[in-house]
Amino acid sequence: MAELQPLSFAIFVLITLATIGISIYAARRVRTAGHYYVAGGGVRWVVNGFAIAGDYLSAASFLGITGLVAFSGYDGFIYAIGFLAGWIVALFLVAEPLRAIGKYTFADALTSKFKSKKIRLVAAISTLVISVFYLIPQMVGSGAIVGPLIGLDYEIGVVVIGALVILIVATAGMVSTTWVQFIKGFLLLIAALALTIGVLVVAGMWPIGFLEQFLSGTVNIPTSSGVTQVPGEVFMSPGMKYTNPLDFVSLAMGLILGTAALPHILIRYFTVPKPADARKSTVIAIVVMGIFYLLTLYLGLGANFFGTLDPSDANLAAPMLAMHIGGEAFYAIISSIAFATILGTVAGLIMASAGAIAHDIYTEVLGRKTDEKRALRISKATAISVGVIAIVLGILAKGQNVAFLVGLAFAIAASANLPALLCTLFWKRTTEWGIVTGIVVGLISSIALIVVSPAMMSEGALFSLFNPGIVSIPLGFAVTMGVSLLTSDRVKSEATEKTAG
Amino acid sequence: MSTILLATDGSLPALAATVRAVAEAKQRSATLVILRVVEQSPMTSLELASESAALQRPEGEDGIEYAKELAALDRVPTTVMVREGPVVGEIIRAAEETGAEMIVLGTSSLKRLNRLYLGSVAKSVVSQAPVSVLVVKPTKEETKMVKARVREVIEPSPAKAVAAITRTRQFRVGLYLFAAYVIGYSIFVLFGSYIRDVFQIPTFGLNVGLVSGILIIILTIALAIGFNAYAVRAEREE
Repeated sequence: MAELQPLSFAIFVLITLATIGISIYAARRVRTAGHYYVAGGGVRWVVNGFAIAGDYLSAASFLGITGLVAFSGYDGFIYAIGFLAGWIVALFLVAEPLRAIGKYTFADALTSKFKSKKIRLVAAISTLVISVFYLIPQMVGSGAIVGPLIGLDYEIGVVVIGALVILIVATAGMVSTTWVQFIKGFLLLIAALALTIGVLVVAGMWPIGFLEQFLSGTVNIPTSSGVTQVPGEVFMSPGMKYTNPLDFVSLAMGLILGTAALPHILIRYFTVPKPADARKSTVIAIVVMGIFYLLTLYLGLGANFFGTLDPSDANLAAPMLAMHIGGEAFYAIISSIAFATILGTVAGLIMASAGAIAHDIYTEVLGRKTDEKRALRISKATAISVGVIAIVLGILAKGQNVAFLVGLAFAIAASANLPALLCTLFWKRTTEWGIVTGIVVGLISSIALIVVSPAMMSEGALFSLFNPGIVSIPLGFAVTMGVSLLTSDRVKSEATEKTAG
Repeated sequence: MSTILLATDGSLPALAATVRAVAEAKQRSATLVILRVVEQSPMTSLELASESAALQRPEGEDGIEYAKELAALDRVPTTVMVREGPVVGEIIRAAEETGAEMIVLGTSSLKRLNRLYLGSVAKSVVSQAPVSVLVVKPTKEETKMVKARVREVIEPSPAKAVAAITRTRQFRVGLYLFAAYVIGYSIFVLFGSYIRDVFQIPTFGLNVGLVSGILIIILTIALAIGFNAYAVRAEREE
């Protein structure tokens, strides 16, 4: 695979440059366009909605789910369902109240109530950790697609592409990432639609009929040592990957509760002027993503149907499917869009981590309020160092499915951030220590469980589930609320002592 | 009575332009229309910060309060307009609507990359405006004087802001819908984990698992659209 294909490479460079170019142009046009262009205002939430979808639909959604469905059938589809279901939490519970209290970052929202430097510090750390975990799969994805495309080995691909992406984001992207996300959201939807139509046309079947024939026949799954055959009805039911039912529950829980706690998604809510706009943006995003996730089912099954699977790297199912359906040019286009996807998500993640360091830790915790230029320089330095960490970890995670890896980031977010966020918003008895310990325990427990899980320790794993959610999420809530109750008693008794004295 | 339009974005040059605009309005005994255009592109904090740094915008200042205060000192009558849209287009439109005899705005000398990304609003306004445009490019002394007068902006209490939302009828309806959705999702997960046989039962040519999975996705979309339509109507009634 590792040789340079001139046509693919040319298309790849063209689409990447066009994405960056258009986003700069669009960012400028908003400022300088004549008044014939847009009559009234009030479309910020539409732009933001697409940008949210762009931020959220990462390599995991496109490359990862396609690969998982292709190899594990129904157990891959649960990712599509769970990734979308998480938005219901965002829509009904988080979007509007969060917009009302937050200004710049996730930590801002949490500290609106207590003005606590401790909370700000742990929230910033948790933002950084989750962003790095989310960055790893993006790096894995970029190495997987760009390697075959330009003819680089996986490791060099990750380093080169990772460095490129970080450079773009750290120098240029700071002004125009919103537009990268916006364009990317569009491109991805169109790419998925085109691929799905391609699958159905080449297979010569209607959408329902295509699913039906899977159920009635046998399904071939290529492995490194040959081909395994399974009955269609087994493939299209839960249990291919998650044989342990508890694993399925844990994953489903992590996915629905993780979305509304992802820092790079939450910062998007601070970009619109009113709480109602935050809700409207969410609705736009849900529509775009819902359609997209329905399509991923067809992409994955299509890849299985045409046998465009590489057992050594499940992440390549979508681009290989494109190659089969539309030849090299289509393959290059789909790979480029996948790359634009990664570029956009990395931009969002780096924004979130740089914001955590520059705004939360430098400006607020260390109290350097006056020096904005220096804060910006620090945010750029953060972007680069976070990126380097992600590149190294990305190389270590070679061959892991990207949707699976992102599922872990969701579980960490749900364990550390969601309890703190929901309690700050809705529970009056929450205390400063409740939030601090809740975040710390949620963060540490979920990461520790991942480290001792079967994915990290192939044999003799201390914890038998792939996803830590079912243990660490309730633990996060329990600690946040338990410590709050304990410390609120103390605060109250101190208060009575004072009045008594 | 004649009017003068001041376009401000809270940047230092715009604040300097404010000083000139107030002086101009006093001399002509005109009304000062203070215009702030909010851009269409929703920006994350860092995008905003890098723009603010490039434009030298003092933190937390959108220029309106500053202009109002300066005008009040000189007893110049003011009107405030906040518009959303492309900056240049909105400035021209506001000038036409208010019949302004002059537009005043500030400009900064952007360098290199910042010029590429941000472009020049002043240049476009000059070329498209129906009336005279006073473009203010402040000297160092002017900038210093302006900086000295900027104050912090006061924010409302966070608890009140949250309560204002959670007390609405639409938020409570949302909570019920959320509860219903979570129950549905839990049943789905229960079947997907411990009662897997049910997922294999044939339905509509497919099986229960696939049909319910696809239904959840479609329901999520429908729920989002439906709830938003309801909430928009409820907000209009308020």
